[in-house]
Amino acid sequence: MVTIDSENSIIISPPEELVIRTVEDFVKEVQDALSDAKSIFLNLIGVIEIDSAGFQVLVALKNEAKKRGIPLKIIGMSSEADEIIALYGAQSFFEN
Amino acid sequence: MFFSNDALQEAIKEFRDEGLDLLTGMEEGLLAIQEFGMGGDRINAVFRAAHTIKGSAGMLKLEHLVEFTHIAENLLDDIRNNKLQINDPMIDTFLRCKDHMQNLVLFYADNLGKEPDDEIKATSRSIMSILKSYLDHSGVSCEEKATQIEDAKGWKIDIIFNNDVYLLGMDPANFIRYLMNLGEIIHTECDTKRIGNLSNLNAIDCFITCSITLLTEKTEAQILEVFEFVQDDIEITFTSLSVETETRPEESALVVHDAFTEIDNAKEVVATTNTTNNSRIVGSSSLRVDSDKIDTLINLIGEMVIANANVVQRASIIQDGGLNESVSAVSRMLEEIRESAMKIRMVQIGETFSKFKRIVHDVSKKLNKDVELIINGGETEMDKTIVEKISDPLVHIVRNAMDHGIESIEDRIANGKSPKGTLILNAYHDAGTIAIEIIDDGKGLDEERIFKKAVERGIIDENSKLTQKEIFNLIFEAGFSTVETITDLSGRGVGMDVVRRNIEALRGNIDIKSTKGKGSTFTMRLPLTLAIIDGFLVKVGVTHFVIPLDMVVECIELSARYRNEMHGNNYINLRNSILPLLNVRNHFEEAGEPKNMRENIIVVRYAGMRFGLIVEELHGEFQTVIKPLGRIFREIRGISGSTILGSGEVALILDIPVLMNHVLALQAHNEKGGADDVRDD
Repeated sequence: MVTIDSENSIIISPPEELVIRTVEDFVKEVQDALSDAKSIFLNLIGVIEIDSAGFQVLVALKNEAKKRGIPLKIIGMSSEADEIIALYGAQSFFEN
Repeated sequence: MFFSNDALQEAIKEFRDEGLDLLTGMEEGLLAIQEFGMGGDRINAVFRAAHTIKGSAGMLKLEHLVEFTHIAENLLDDIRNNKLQINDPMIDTFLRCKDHMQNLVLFYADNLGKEPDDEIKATSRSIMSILKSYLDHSGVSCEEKATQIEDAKGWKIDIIFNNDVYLLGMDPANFIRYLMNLGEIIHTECDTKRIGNLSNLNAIDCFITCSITLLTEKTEAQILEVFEFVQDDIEITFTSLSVETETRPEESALVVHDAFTEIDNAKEVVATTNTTNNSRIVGSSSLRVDSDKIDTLINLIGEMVIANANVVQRASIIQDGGLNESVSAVSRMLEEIRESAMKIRMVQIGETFSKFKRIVHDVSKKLNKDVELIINGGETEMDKTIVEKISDPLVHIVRNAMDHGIESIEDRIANGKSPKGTLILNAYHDAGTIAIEIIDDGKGLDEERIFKKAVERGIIDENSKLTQKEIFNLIFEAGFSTVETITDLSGRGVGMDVVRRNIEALRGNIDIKSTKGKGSTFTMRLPLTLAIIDGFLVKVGVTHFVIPLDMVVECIELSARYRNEMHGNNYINLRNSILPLLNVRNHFEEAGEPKNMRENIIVVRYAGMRFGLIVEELHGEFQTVIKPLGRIFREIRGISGSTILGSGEVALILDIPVLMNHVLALQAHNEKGGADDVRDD
């Protein structure tokens, strides 16, 4: 789910299952909301299942934010999301 | 576990299918060695089967199977390296070994994540101790040939996953997680640049590239095994971390295929993966498909045939030339599609037949008889469902033939026969059916004994007058057994009635011919397929009937001349042979009177005999999707199913075998021996 507040910062809460079956819909939703975003908050607290396809989307989102020069901050983290980010050694990538 | 539960289940299923195939090959190889000696590639094939199963079992962590197979593999290795001479007892042990491996494979497939219980392990131990005793005599240490290539202490592994990895149902993360079981991952790095920006991302393609530093004692080959399931879809590069292996050339960085070949040259330990690899290449010309998918396809095509019949009907009313042409083109193609789809289900019966080599081998040993098995027509094709369902009945008849039919060696010599008995399995196509014959040259069926026994068992009355055929058919009655001593092979009297029931359930039948002292022939006749047939559409009164086209020989007009000849009897003289007739209108008690129109006779042929059906209108060839009749129609004899016509009306499919029996029974009662006259072969 994506919510946009008055200052054009968007809060992205991916679906509970961020997996190969759901990534396409999720990506489309985020792409649509991204155009005027000034900042992005990524809330992963509700992600209870995530696979490499899901991880890949998160990386692409971070890359997109970097390209547009807008900040992306992770504001919530589930243990499942944390595990896969650590597995790929990508913690520092999301912190910068 | 590095597999998700679904993936594991899938992997085990694949393992099961592949394992059973390999074990079948192993058994065939062993029997061939016994018969023809070690020549050719036979022993290697047997070794490879054991080796591949061990390798796959290792990947799936089926420890007990690995342990068990390892010993067998060592012994086979010594044999193929001529360190040990193979002999008959050893082959028997290997056959037991194969059976046990099969049980283990099935056990693991049915009991996901469990290890076998003590009973199974006890069997393993007893076979293993025999194998070990052979090994001890080989005088060669067969301990752990799979020693490590080098003392690598760890690897930097760079893996590029191809785009379609997700679509193949694989998750790269699972492979990395599994690597943790092989050692300690001290560093992972993911190439985030390859993934790119969200605005350009095709989320279902895989862009994962990572570099993993793994501290482990395992060899490159052992690590590669982890990736066996994606070996075609990754590029993997190994760089050794170890100081000791600096001598190792830099080119250890290889694309995965080359790595497999390379190591194979260096060492046979990879033969596992490599063989699997080869078998996949060979296998790529055929495809394993879930049979449910094919059933769905065939059902859909069936529905389409019905829908198309409706289109044809409507088009014929409109009488538009262009439309008719299009419709007939579609119909023609639909027919081709139907035929191709049906062919997918067709398999050669040879596979089923070849398992009888083992059965005959075992049973003749047990009974101390010498029996030669001859297989004819193994290439005959039939529907896979039918092949599966006739397997058990066939086994039963073959065992019976060996147990009760073929005499002991002494008896055979005393009767002036060759000491070696012969058992022939014969399959061929005949009038839209497949016939399978089981022929033995044993003592034949004893009419008197069967009759006496049937009276004793209360199956028939002692005053019954039965033809030879009827007496033979008594052995299919429930609770019939003529053997005084019950052996563990047959003779429990629970078999033949089940055999007949199974065959009849497939719309088939079974027939016996036997000559005392000379032998018996059991002939099973089964439909080629269960779903769609070519039919011949006829009409009687207001009801449509379909006759399987393969059984139709000819159509003739029931002319006044024939009618005069009949004199109220149910047969005519057709070109100097008697043709019994069945009036469909009377038989099915069709309401109303026949319209004043000429009647026709359809001559049908089944199991080498002919009879005629009297019908009214002929509508010609018709693709027929067989729909089963509901339970309430179960008692109606002579109808095997129904189908839907283009107009939406229902047509009934005539059950020719049943009608033929009815005609023959009538004939036999009307005049003695009438049944023999209609035989045309």
